[in-house]
Amino acid sequence: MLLLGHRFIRWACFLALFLIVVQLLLGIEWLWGDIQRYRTGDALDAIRGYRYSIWEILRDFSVVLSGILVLLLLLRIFISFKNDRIFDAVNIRRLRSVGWIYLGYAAVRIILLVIIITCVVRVSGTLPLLHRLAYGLAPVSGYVLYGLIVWVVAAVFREGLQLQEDQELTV
Amino acid sequence: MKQTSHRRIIYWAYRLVSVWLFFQLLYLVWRVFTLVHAANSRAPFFEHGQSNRWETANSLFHLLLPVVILSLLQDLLGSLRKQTAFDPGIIRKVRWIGFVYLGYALLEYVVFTIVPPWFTGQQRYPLVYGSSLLMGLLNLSGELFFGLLILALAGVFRYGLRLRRESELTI
Repeated sequence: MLLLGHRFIRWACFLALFLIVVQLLLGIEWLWGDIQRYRTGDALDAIRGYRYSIWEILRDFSVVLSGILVLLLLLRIFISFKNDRIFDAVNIRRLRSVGWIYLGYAAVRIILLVIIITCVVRVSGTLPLLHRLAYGLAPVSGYVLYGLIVWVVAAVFREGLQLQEDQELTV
Repeated sequence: MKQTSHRRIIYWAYRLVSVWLFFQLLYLVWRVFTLVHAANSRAPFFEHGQSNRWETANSLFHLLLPVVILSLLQDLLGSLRKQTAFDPGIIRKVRWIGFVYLGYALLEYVVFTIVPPWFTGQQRYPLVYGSSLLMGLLNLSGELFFGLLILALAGVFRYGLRLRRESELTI
């Protein structure tokens, strides 16, 4: 673990912990605001006549949930780095789970987006559907890319694990 | 020869990324074409889904990121197919992906928050948007967060490189 440095790993763990707390606090504040707007029947910004629905709450809930899950997994990965377990089968599984969470979040977001757009179009009738879809799909493709990159990193970790096992056998 | 699971993942990821990059390039060309057409037709930009030229530039800027990342990823996966992952060249490529994400997050802040008021006279509140840069770190959708994560994981690859060198010395 000398190349990464224990100080770096400790800071990464602190950062992950800090982000988990902030994510939790912001998420609670965010969801509470959503629920209040839903209960009072507020209109959604920039879309005339469309009011907050349960789908917006679900969308925001999926953001908070996926964020906390990813951070928890990363925290556990960094803790195991700190304990000198780098190319470890458990870490590979965790990394792949991070990839799955990003991909799953992208899928959930696409489904919720289609539902929300359908609701919006039903109310406003004039919303350019293709534009909304195009703008909505752009960030989703970003999550798919994140998932893919994390999967590739996990595949490299697997190669590292094989190398480590080979070296242990040689020794 | 039977492929190991991580080799299979890299092989399929390479194919997926190649196809994705092709379509992303096609989409980019189509967007540039429609925006040029809109600019030449002298129609108000709003009719074409853009409220002003800065937002046009913004949408093109956002389209460039996946193209750059996908080409870097394709290059990386192409190298991973041919050689071991723990090579200085490969680690440099992984770090590049992290740096592109970081650079994108910072450039987006400078180009679309600090610069526009000088040209358009619109107030964009840099401090508020500065906090949105921080939010990019806090909510995990941010390129800033993902760039840092990739750089941290690239640091782990250096440990793999050391392992490989030790293994070669042992043999």
